[in-house]
Amino acid sequence: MRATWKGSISFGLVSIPVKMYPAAIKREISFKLLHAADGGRIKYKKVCEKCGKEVSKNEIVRGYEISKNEYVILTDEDFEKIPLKSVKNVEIKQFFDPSELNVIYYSGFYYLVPDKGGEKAYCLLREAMRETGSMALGKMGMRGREYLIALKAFDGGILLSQLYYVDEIRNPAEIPGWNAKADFNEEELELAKQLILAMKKPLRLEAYRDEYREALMKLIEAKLAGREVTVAEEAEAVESIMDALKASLSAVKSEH
Amino acid sequence: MASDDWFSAKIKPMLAKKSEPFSREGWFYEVKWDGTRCIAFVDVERERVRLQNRRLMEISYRYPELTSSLLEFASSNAVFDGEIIVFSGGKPSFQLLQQREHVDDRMRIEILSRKIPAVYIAFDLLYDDDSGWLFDSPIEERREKLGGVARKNRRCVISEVFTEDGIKLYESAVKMGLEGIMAKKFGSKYLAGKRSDLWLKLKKKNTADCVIVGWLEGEGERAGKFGSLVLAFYDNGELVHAGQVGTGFTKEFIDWFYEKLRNIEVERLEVKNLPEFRRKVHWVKPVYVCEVEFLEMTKDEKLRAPVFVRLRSDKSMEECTPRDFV
Repeated sequence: MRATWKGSISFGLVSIPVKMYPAAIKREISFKLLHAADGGRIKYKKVCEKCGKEVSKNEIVRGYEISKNEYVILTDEDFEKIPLKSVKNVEIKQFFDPSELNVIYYSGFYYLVPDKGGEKAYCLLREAMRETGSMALGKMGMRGREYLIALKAFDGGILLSQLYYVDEIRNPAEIPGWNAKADFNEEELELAKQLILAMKKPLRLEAYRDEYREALMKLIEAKLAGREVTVAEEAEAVESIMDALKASLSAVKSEH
Repeated sequence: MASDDWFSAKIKPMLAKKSEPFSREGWFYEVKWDGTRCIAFVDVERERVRLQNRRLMEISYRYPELTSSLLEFASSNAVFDGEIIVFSGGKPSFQLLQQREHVDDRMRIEILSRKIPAVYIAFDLLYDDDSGWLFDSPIEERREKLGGVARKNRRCVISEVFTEDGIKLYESAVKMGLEGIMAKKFGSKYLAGKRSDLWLKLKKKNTADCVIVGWLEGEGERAGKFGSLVLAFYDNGELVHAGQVGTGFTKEFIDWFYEKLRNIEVERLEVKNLPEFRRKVHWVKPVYVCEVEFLEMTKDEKLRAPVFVRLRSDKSMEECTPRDFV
């Protein structure tokens, strides 16, 4: 597995070289688009709406749409004027108590491991966070964006959580019907509570699976079955090679 | 220390130097299996298996079919050194192995594990429950214990030891289309991560591992794809141009790899010793390593007549040193 990102964490005076790996495994089934008639792959072309011509990468600029058909154009040079500061470095800005961070701010998870030479400082940071029950807050630059991130001691390593900025989270009051109110009596509430407690049991996430994906997968496998290449030669292939070599050696012996 | 420390150990495989074929007292030989080097940690008690490649990366998830086979293979807890191979037409197939190596989608892995299953060939034993770690035991003792611990099955076998006539064995192996043989010195310890004179690879063809640093546009049949790959060695922290390779690819590989290359294109790349290119070079991030065969090294340290063999996802850029193959 390749690291998604390599860089360093600066913590006080030390800079810890680290590598980052995605925590989640993509398991959704993706499909390629094919031409039904001949099975060819469908290709996307970038075509200019105005002149109808296909355009190449270096003929394309970015425009920020202010109002319909009115754009502010940004070139590569413009982007270079505001360099991402923390590109290869996560600077820890502060530590905090995990209970202060609402789940709604988490947007993605990555595992962080020490890169060459960073082992000691990495372990120190992890243990110190664990023993003080603290998480770290910092910023990192990746794929042309500046991310807010949090670090936490997790299992045998450090978990890096990408966070939403506060202005990226919608105020729920904007959602129609959010502060719903209705009348119910004590008895009804008691009944609902009893039902909940009856259904309450230790959490075993592994018992829940994506059944639609599994069914889709079975369907694909069934369609593949007719085309299966039967590989009868497994270990036998190895042994027949070794046997043939043995035979060639004993042939030499008997010649003498 | 926890009792299952052996299971989570990281082990750099012992490496071999290249040599001309020979027959000598005090050495034994075996087939040089060319696939993916793999240290297999098999915990029969807790029914778990860890597969680690030469870059110390976990590759177990890529070969789900080997987990149950290795649990059958080992009669007690053990750590094996060996090679993962995919066979086609009775011979190891790099192309099929490549298909297994570059898939991350769990479902496609499942399908491929049935369509083109892999075989594990064990040639060394590094740990067993009775003896503990065996790095300091002589190789003949390790091989004997290997025979005692392992029971072959459909997908797992022990590589056989040949004790005589290295030259004849080499010739037969080459005739059978194999790359060559290994020679190992009796009495030698397991030197993890070391390339020593105790293990020698006897093979005819020169091969080198190179970093892919760019590509040139193809023509004719390859129009709209790459025609050749620009290669470099990694020498003292710098990329040094090694040549271009334009043959040895299958059409499927070109289609597939072209997409990969497009995704990692960069504006420029620092590469030493570059020739004058008559055509535009598309530089790429130096993340792919490939193995090439070549006739010889020219005076200015470039590959003469290189032919693409396969991608080596199990090797890192740092391993592509210009002198590694001598």
